Amino acid sequence: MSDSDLIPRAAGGDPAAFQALVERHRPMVYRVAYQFAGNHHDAEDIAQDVFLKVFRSLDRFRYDAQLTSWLYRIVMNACIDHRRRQKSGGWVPGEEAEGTLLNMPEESPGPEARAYGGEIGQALEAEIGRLPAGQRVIFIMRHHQGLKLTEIAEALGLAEGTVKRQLHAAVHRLRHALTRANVLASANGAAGGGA
Amino acid sequence: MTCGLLERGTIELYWYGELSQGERDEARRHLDRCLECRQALHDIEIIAAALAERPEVASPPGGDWSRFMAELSAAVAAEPRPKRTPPAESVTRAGRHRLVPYLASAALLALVTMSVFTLVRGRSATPPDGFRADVVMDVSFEARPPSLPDPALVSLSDQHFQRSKLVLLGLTTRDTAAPAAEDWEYERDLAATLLQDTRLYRRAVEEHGMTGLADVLRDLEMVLLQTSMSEGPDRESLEGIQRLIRRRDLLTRMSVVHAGGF
Repeated sequence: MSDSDLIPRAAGGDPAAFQALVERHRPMVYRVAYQFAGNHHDAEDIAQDVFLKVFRSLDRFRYDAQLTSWLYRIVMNACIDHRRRQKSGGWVPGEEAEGTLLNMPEESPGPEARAYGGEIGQALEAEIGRLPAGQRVIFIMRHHQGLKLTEIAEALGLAEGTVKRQLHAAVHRLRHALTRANVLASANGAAGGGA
Repeated sequence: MTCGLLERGTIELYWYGELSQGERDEARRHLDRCLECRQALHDIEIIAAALAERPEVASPPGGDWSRFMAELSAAVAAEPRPKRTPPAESVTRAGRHRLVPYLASAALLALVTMSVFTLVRGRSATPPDGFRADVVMDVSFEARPPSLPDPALVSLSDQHFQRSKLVLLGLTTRDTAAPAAEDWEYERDLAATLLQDTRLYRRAVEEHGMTGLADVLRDLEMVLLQTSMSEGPDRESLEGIQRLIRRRDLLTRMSVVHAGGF
């Protein structure tokens, strides 16, 4: 049964239809949440939050949109909300601008994240954790979901130019942080001096 | 001095395969003669190679979804039953306008505004171990019945709406051919500040089933998000935001809702 068949049934209160939707989309939601959060505990919290919002909003879903695009937006917002709660433990509107609120590194990566990549992998993990939430979501969608810039722009409801700039800013920031930490320099040395 | 192509992100787009054939050929020729860009490309390759080793985690530990599904079921069961409303595509603008008298109720406005403050208080308080902040928030919604409208709170929501409209008007009337950097900076900062309050108001009205106002606030949120994430006064970003405001007929809808009681 397709999403467009399941959505009206779930919106009408059919628990089996809602469960089928969750089971179909939970790997994507969890994958993005984990890439964002870096540990199971927070990824589960984010994914729970996402599906609860989906449940609350199904009757307002616009059928001219892809469910996955809609879900991406919800995941992005859930990631940002989660980070805000994590940072402040309480939050007052107008306290800080969106872009600067979300700049805290993760507390600790999960075992899968800790196991990968040696020196570069560890440094990269830490730097990804320091990216502002918007840049991080775009970076993850490009690198881990393999989405084209136009697809990211559509999914997030952003102009393609904005996505390009945020992605550029993320890569620029990672390059410079890794260079400062001498990780890229050593990798370049190991690779024979680069281009 | 940094190479212009590198500065503009062209080298990353080259690596991502996001350039047209002509741009790609040009970038390749440039790379042959620019050591800095070759070095940057090599850095990106190293980062990508390291990222490729980053684990793909698409399920809880051991692939066991049972606890996750049980918690979700419990959370869903605690929600009010979904209303059997027609899908959003069939809600016409006329239908939205019929909601205006409903939105005009001063008591409801006070309720929404107070809910926002209740929500903020719920979030400001540190929840006890094992409790999620949003669960605490939901309980506080139920525990606090609406009381008489507070003029100060009503005034606050009115100010928020007015300021949002001013930002939208500023964005709509801005000349895309020569957007001024200072104005843009101001609007971007203001949009970032208003975004958080808008999100709170939107959630509060959703909690109260005020779908018409929630639709307006959701679209406003989208415009504010795009504005706050834009980095400079460039034509493409501004045109995109202006298109979005026009397509959603946002200024008109905000005026209608505002005239109805905000």
